Amino acid sequence: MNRLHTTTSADSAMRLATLRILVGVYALVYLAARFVYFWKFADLPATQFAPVFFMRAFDAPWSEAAYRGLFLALFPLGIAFVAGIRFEYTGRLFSLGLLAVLTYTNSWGTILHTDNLLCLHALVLGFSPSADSLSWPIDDHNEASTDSAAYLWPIKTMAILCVATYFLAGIAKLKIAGLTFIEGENLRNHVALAAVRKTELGSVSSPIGVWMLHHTGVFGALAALSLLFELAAPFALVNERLGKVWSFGAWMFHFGVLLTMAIGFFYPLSFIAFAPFFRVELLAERYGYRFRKRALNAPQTPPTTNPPA
Amino acid sequence: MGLEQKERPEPLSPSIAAANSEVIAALVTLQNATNGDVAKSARNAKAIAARVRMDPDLRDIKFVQLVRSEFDATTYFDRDQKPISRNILIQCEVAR
Repeated sequence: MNRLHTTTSADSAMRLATLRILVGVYALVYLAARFVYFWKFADLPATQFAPVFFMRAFDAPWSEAAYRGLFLALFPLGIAFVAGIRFEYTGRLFSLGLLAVLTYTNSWGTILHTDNLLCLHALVLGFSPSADSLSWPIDDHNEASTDSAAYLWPIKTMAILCVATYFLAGIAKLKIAGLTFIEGENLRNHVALAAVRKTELGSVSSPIGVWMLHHTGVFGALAALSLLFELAAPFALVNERLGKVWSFGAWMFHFGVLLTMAIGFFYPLSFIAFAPFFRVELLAERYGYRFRKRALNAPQTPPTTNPPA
Repeated sequence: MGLEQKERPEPLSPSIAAANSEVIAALVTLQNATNGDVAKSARNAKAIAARVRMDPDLRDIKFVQLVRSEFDATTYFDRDQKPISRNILIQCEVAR
């Protein structure tokens, strides 16, 4: 873990800020692309309300105006989060708002586990000094503190959270099916069920998954490989190289799920979920500095002062 | 399920059947819609029929059925995508 991030405080601040922008942009795109999906939760019958997490404190769904108002507020807050504008307020408000909306939408009988990691990453970024660099307004005062620990703990926490979600999934598989999971029958049933469910509900099922149902031996290998990647996830924290190798493996796992079950876990598929394992500040150096230079070179409007009376 | 006149029932998309594009969420909504009394099922069938009526691509659908089916997932595709059993809970005409 100590060798995971060996950078200067400026690099660490830049990496954390780049993570803020990546996660913030992803969250905004996710909310916008699924606008109708999120919007319609206000129309669901109260009888379907099955609260999870802090929503258990509520006996009934929120009013339509409260839910939709909060959902809409995420867009300007998200833009401020990405830009780092008044981040001491907007960072916290956006991440807490995202937590509230995603908890609410997961309180109707279906839990989308892929929402969890996005939400946790946003919370870490929202409550850390992730806007000490690459934030608006761009000026020469946009400099990081010399205390690199302040920037490293959020990055390490994001990596640990990412690894934890996979490790827990591996533990859950062992708890449910035991070591017989690697025989593949359990995985085959999951793939078959996903295909039937999608077909019967008028959606698109994966022809690859359906074809694979006749090749039972494949499932044993895939089950063993997926369980290995999940249980070995903590090794990704040992050093940078292992973190990268594991990240590509985990991405391949999700790509496999997409191909065989037509289920898209978009946050990991976007690779942003694994960004804490990479030197993403290089992206900022490549594109951010160019933008910063252009912004700083833009003609400045002189401050206006009232003439003396 | 949506039925054209004298045709085999066809599944309706999650957004029509449950006003939700997410398949698993739609499944939960439909389970919830069919786990209650007949009046509740009838209300839900009417709501689905109303969504069918609004969709120009579904203008040939004459009836909507809420069904409960049992499947053997691993042999489903070898059985011409037929369930082991299927009970019609309620049928509702699509008012045109």
